[in-house]
Amino acid sequence: MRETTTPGKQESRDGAQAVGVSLGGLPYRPAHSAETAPVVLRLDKVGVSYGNVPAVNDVSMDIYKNRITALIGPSGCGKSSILRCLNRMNDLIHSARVTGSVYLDGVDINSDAVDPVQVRRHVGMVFQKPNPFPMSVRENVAFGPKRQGTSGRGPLNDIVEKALRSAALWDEVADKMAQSGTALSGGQQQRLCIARVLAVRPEIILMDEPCSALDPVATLKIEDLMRELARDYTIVIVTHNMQQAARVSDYTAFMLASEHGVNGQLIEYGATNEIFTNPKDKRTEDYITGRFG
Amino acid sequence: MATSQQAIPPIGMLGRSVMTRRRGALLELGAEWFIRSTGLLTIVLLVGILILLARQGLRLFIELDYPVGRFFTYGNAITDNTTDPKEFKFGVMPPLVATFWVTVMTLVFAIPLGLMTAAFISEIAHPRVRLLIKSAAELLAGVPTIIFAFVGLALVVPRVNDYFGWGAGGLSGLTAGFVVSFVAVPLIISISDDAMQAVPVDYKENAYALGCNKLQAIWCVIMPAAISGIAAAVMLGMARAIGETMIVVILAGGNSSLPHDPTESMRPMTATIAAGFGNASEQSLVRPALYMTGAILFLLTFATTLIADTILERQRKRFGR
Amino acid sequence: MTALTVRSSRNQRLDWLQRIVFSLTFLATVVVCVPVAIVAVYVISHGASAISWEFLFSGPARAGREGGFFPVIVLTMYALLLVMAFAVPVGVLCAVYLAEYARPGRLLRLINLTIINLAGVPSIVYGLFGVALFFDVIHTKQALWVASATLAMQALAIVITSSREALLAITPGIREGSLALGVSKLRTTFFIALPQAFPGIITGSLLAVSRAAGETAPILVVGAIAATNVSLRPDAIINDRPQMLSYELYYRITEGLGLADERKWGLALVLLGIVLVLNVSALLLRIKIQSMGYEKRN
Repeated sequence: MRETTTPGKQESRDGAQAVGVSLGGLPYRPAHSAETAPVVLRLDKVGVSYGNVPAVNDVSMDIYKNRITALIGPSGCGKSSILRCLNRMNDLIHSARVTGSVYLDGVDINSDAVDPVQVRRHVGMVFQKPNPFPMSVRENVAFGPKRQGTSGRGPLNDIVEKALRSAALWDEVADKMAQSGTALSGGQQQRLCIARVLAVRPEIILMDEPCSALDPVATLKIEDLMRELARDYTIVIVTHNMQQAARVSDYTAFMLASEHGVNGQLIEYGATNEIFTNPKDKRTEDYITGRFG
Repeated sequence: MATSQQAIPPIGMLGRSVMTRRRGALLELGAEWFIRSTGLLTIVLLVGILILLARQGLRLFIELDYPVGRFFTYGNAITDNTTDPKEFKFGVMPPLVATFWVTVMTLVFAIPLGLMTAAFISEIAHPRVRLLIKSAAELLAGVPTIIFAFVGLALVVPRVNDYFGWGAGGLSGLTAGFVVSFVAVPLIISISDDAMQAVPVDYKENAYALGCNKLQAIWCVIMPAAISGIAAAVMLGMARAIGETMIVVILAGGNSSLPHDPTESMRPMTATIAAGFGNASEQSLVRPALYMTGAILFLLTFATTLIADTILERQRKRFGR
Repeated sequence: MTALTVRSSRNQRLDWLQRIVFSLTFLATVVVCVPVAIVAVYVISHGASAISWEFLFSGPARAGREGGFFPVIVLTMYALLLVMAFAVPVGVLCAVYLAEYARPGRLLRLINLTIINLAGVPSIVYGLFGVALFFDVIHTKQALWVASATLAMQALAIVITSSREALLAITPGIREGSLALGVSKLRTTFFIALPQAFPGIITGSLLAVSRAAGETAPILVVGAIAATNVSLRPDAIINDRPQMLSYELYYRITEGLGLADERKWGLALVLLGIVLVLNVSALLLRIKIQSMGYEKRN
């Protein structure tokens, strides 16, 4: 499987322009007027409901390659629900129903022709609570590549080391490769989970409040790491820490629910500095100036 | 805003790769359907048991012309190898009544023992004692019933005979019920302990705040709150007693006529099947009659378990666990 | 102030009542626990003298009055292995369905109810079903396999329940972590969930097999044979009727004065030994799992 997907990936990685060209014919109006990066994910009227209760609806936005996009808003506004639409994680919740379309490089990932497992290989996810597998550090990182057919000690070791280096964890765990991943500290566990995702070489990484269970020092490390990773990856992060969004993201989407957990909506989406310095919507302004939420 | 136009972007490399089929995807789909089918297997098994027993049992009335009324009312259950329906002396009533007596005797001993032990380990004793007793009860539940029967035969039966002279040399429904109660007790303890543990702590604390002592809290607050779990525990203990075979085969005495009180020698349904089935010839009416008895036994335990589970479900809904 | 220190007569009566009732519950607990000791002590004290190298490892002579019960022990072990081979794969797959695949709804409720009922079906009814299915419908002649399959059907409910509990006890985040790497659900189940649930599955399987080892009624109905003078032939494991320790014990108890009491208790001791070893190892394994979970939470 790797063999078939790798060339395409390298092409799009090495020459971001390649995708840009293929998209170039369309008249995009980016969120930031100076944006030149291609769109990798387009949300078109996306909504999620649980049972008969609509959690969030009518979210339309573009996500740009190699940029960090932050989804902010008070808890219960549907940020996580939207994030989970981007790699079909909502499939796992029995009562969840997703409407609208999410285009990944031109393909609606909700269509029948698409295999959710393939989507998740390209769109990885890091969760709120660090969830390392109860196996060694090395096995944790090698798990994904192994299941996708990579075998042999040599290649696997290379992948593991590269992923751990990219996740800025290598120096800390190089001598603990055989130790259980669950024995690491919280921040290390979260970076291990990031390394685990990097090892399957996705294009996009979704992060669902990745720092909410961590202390400030570990949080800063993860934020630095995100800036580092944005050179190679597209990152979408959900956070309810506004400072974090301001510090790390290029784009910010502000979401709000009419009441807790019902009818969440996208209020405003734009370049982060514009949202934070010059919000167009009164509700956004209220939120970022701390008047509620 | 970024979303002013709705044009669908053209499909790129990434998009194409998302639409390709994974290697082994079909195989995985097959495996998943196989796994699903094993879930249905349990239903097939349960329904299969009933259908097959009924099929084999109803032959008695349909093919072999044994009168239905005689089967249900005749006062004896002799399993001799006759092929003549007029000569066959089998009624399901005596085994049914014997099962009833043994079950009643079991519950007479098992309910007080089980509930008092459950109250002790759940509310009075130290949690460590609770773990210890629960483990002991589990070991008790694991002892093969044939060994219980053997020990009962060596220890209980002579004493019953010496002091009371019941049944056939101490072998009686009461003796069997007494020994069966030690099989039913672990089940009753385990389930009613779970039920009492599930009662929210505030109930107890409120009772203490109102000036109750511990006994009052247990008797007036915890037991009533856990009553459905306790009832279910008793029902399941009852199902266990109805289905118990080896103790009853060895200790109940084996008299095939209708018992009038629990101190008589008797032969419950399980014992009738166990004792008669092996010796029955293929052509005789014995096997269909015993299949029919088995089907009735199945329905009895099925109904008991079903009621117990309905009660438990209500309790779970009430306390959310 | 005095109202707090002076005990009313009603309160005193209540205290006495409480003391009496608590003593009674303690007594009941003792009465429940004592049989475990009595059974163990009685069986050991009466049976230990019969246990010898010959009793365990040689064939019977003079219809079991002399010699040993080696064939019975071997065939019992063999039958238990078959029970495991039949019940564990099916039971675990069913548990996987229930814990990983089934969607909450009427079907799941129905299957859960079915499993509870399967656990409650009397063993003798399983025996009748086994005979009807394998001898009358399928027309097989391999009685030992039929007996094992019958015991396995009975063991199924225990294996399913304990495996399902073990699977449901896994932190759900771990599954999501694997799925988010683009690992399929089936692979996640087999490489993440099942290894995690493994100790719990083993516990359930041990319990189920120990139950099967002590079960006598189904074997009785399927048609077992007691040890005769024939010593163990290699092909017995395929062709023979089942010889099980539990049945052997039943046969020896009811055959009358055929066998010295000591040898009967010896048989009971071997059976109890096998069952208790299986049971206690399951118990210890579970206590270990529980304490591990406790450490993890803290």
